[in-house]
Amino acid sequence: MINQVATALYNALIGNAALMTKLGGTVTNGYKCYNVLARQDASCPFLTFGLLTDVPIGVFSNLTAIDDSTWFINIFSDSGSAKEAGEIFDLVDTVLNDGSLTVTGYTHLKCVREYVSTPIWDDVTKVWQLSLRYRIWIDKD
Amino acid sequence: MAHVAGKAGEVDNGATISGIKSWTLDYTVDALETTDFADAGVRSYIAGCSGWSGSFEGYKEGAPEAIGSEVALTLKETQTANQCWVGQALITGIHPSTSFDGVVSYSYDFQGTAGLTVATA
Repeated sequence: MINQVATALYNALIGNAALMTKLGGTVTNGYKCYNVLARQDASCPFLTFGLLTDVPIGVFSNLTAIDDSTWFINIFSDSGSAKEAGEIFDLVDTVLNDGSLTVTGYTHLKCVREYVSTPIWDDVTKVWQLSLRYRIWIDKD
Repeated sequence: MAHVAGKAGEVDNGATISGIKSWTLDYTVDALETTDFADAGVRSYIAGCSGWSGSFEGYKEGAPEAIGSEVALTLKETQTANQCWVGQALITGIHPSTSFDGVVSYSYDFQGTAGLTVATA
């Protein structure tokens, strides 16, 4: 389940032209959308995403019929203010909030935003971070 | 005695009803009061008529079951033989439920219309 949803998220994010333009994502830099950990040479702005929690919803005939999962997206920006991170958030949210994911082996039920953090400033690296959380439900085919 | 997990339960009305995740059965007998002066202030009873009814619920998987029809109902505690309750029943109600943050759910009520075969294992 984890890899299938991660792939679906990745494909949805890199499929949005406006987001790719904002991030400067290309095939060479992995579209600046990284699974859990950013690559070491990643340059801002970029984002990471990954699984937070997964709780199955079951019925008698299938104890894990539906996966109720939450996923984080962390946006990193080294611009002079939190504005760029907020703009990237808007683009990510356009893709994912009430978005439709194509998850291999599953039927998409919903993908909705349920949390946005306060922008965090790291004075050492001079990077802004904005954390998002999305809830994703998928139904096993 | 060993405990039994309910994870492999089932509700069958001739065929398995899909999407069901729980069921409840109330099998009761009337207690007819027979208290008289001779009971010295302690109430006494005899058994009257028995009856059974209940409900089952789960998530929508296809069209809902029809109400108002009598079915051969099997309520399985597990998939083990005789760990089930069986009888003719009338499906008396359906309660669809939908919320913006939930899965579409159905719950049903039933009323037994004949004797109930009790689980024996």
